[in-house]
Amino acid sequence: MPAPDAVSSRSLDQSTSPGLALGIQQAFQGLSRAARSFALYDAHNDAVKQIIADFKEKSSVLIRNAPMELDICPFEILLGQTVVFHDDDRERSLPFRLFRDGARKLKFEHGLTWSDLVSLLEVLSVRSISVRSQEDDLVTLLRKAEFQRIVVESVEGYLPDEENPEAVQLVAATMEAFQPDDPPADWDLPIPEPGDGGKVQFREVDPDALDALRSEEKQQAVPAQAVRAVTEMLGVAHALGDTSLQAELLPFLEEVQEYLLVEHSLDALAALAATWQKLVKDGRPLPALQDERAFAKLLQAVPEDSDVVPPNLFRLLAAVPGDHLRRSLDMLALEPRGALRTALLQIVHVHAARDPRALLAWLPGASPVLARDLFTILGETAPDRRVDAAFDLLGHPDPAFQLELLAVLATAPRGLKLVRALQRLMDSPHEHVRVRACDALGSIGGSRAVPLLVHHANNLAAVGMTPAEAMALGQALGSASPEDAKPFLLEWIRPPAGLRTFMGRFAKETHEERILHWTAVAGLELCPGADSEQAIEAVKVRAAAPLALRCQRALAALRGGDDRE
Amino acid sequence: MSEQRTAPGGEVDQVQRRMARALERAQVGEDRQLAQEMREKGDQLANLLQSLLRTGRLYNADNRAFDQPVHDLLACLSRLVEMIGAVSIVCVEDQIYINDVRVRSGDKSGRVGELAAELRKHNVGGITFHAAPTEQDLRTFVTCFSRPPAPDAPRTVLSRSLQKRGVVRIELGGIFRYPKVGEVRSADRTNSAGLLERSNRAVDQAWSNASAGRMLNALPLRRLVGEILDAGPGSEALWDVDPPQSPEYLTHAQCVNHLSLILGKAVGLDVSSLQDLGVAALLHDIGYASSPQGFTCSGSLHHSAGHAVEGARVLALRRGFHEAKVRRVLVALHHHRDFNDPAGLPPLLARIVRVAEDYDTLTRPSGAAFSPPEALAALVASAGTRYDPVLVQLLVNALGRFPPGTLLQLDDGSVVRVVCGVRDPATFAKPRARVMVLHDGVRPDPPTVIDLSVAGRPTQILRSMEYAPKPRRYR
Repeated sequence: MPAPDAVSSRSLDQSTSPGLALGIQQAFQGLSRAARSFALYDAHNDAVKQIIADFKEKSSVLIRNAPMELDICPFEILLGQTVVFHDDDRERSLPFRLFRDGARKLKFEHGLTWSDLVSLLEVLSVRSISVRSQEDDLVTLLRKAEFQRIVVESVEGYLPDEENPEAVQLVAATMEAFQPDDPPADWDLPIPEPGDGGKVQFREVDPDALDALRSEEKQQAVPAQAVRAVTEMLGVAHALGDTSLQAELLPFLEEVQEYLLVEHSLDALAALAATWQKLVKDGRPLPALQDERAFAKLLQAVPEDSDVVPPNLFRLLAAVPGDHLRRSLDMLALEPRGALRTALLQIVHVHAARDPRALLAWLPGASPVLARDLFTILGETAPDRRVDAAFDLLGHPDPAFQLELLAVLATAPRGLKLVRALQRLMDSPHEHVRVRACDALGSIGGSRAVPLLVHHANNLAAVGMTPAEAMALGQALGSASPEDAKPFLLEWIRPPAGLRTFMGRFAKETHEERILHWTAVAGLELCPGADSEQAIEAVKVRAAAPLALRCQRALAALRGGDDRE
Repeated sequence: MSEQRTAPGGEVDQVQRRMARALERAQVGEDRQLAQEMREKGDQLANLLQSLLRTGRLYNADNRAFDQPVHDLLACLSRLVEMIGAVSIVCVEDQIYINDVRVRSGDKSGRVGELAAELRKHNVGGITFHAAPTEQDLRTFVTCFSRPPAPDAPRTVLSRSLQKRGVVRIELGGIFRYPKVGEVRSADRTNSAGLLERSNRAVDQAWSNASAGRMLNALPLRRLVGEILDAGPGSEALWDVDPPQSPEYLTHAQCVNHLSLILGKAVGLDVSSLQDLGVAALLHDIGYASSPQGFTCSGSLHHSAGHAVEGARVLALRRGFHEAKVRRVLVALHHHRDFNDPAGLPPLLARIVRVAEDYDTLTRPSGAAFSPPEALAALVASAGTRYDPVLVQLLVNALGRFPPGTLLQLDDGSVVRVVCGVRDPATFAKPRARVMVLHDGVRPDPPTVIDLSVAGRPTQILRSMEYAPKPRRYR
């Protein structure tokens, strides 16, 4: 336990504030929870994200109140004399883990940043998942973290604890039998031949030269170093024809490839794969790539915040077994962005060309944005399957895509399926899609389309439609079957008769009636006959200017002459 | 969770990704099999040992009741020795460590565990099994332990008793505790000679393990390098020390480590890289731990090349990825290669170790036995061809005209040994030095360190104290 007198006066002062103590307690609860969360959840889980966010919020008290010194006791953290955090659950206690691993004092210095706290969380998280590295203990991890504003006073190992130490009774002398042999007499010889005496004098070293040296050992250089180590060792085994050494090196190679996957170093991994192919020559790909799980690991290396797909990605993926198309589609469903999305679409492109069935099966459930991209891919890789897919995508909300689908459907075989598809598009919320769908139905539907179009026109008139759409409907009706359509069209503009006529002179036409006049006029234009002309004339007489003009054009068309009067 | 809480959005995402990466990295670095087995066997060892010692109070060691526990303990110890070499079980307060790795915690009360309590009767806090003991060793150990402890120095008495009965593989250690914050470390830990002694033992242990084909434990070496870094590799305390009497390959490893750290610091490497460098330097020649006949992979190579390959092999075999391991492998493999090797530039750490290694080889008695200034001049002469010229200049700037260890005869006839590197450019050729003998060959009393920038002018560099004035002998 730390001696109370080791606590600074600053921290003693702070310990008097209950509000601060509570804030620190919450911050450490957040830290403890965040560090443990990785033992409970997958690191990518949303729950973890929330816990980190929670820690971030609570840690602000540490940032605001730094500097402060906290003493680590086996189950408690003290600010001065005040216990600011307590957890006596041996399995999860943050102070216990810190104390057990040698940390004795935690100092947050002025200017403490979230970045430093994240580094602290990183170290504690690694320890909390019970990974036992043979290289690093907590103390070396903390040293490596190179905090800017956090100081962890720690102890390593243990000390003799005897007031009167007994005489050292080493048995080392008798241990010689267990010591290794000395190296050969001429170890490290011959001596490097000394050159002619160089001039030994002080010279400043160019800072750029030092920068260049340091850059050789920066963290980003480790993947290349790892590949170099494996490559050269395999090279030695190859040169010596030593297959047992090659076999011995396999675990090292496997570690390196796993590391490269974790580090997303695809270039280095590709270099390693090339070495493997060159030196091992057993025809199999690099061991890491023989596992289906490599697919997801490789794609984790593709950034979402950039548009650049790593150049070696596809070369590496080519060696990985498994159903890449289905995996890509599954990953695309998560709506990735940037280069990852691009890469996945490229994979789909390649595999759909070989067998589009999975893509076709998957398309109906795809999100709108994705569906459109996938439909494009289908068009490029299996154009003959587009029609099938188009039927499944009619619910797509994008009007431009709906028009694209309509264009594809135009090539579909005539029949009930197509009619229903067009009907569906006629319900599109987008007018121009409805117009095109009506047009298409008019073109292909024949007499059977007429009742559908009539029904549609009535419905739309009831809820409201523009004259343009109304005219499109009329034209569709006229195109579908003039004979079958004409009665409906005439009915929409038939002048009132008898009492109704008399009363009608004083009654105002409804909007629904007026808009159907547009439909009727446009439709009757395609239904030659005196009755059509009379009906249009009748509308023209009582219609307002735009419709009257349209009537005039229709009459001209029917009469096959100039529309000017 | 409220919107406000998740507001950091991208930042929190980044942290989450960073954590995920760190955890994956850590998992890649783990040798799960070894870790699991260490935990299990370590825990088992503690249980078996405690039960055996307790049973020893009830029965004679030749009683059948011991057969099974002794057999189990032997099996457990043999496996541990096979895995990690010498096995040290240490009780610290309520914790139990096997070779510095904690394998068991006590209870919340912090009460000393039962094994610790049992061992304390003889003032013992730890036991080291230098090799798998025999059945007879264990029975003897239990017999001796079951006797009442001696009133004075019970551990020493027990140790002697064991040795007298031929039990030489078992070493008893004292009681241990955790250090407190701010506690002044014991003389052993602050004293440079003590540090070197511990470092020698750790390297020796590593060689021993490599020789026996066991797994290397880098953590103790890493901690020792950390201590040297804390002390400051260029500090006078580390130069002004009589090296412990050790085999030359151990002193060589220490010297290469020391010089490498000086160079690494001069380059401006970060702490983590410096630790990697130090451990790599300590182990750079570990390929020699296998005898030339024993080289498993490089029998067709001369040992000067073979030990590099063998060393890299030994270091690569240790399971679990760690960048330090990669660096060690590269250093072992490349530490004899020239800067301008047509096959390519050796890695930086290997170039550093190369400079340090050749400096020591040029100065060590079984090497060229040059004086330090001569060795430094030889390095300078080959800078740019054999050695990285920037590193050589950094070494020159760090060691000076008269590097530490140089024996100088001064104008007053006295002989001094340089005990520090360059303090500043102005004192490049005027270091501090310990007076070895006065003009009349007599050692100064009390020992004296002088600053040559203040007094004393070197007139001659001596290769050894053989050339120093000798005290006049009177009949």
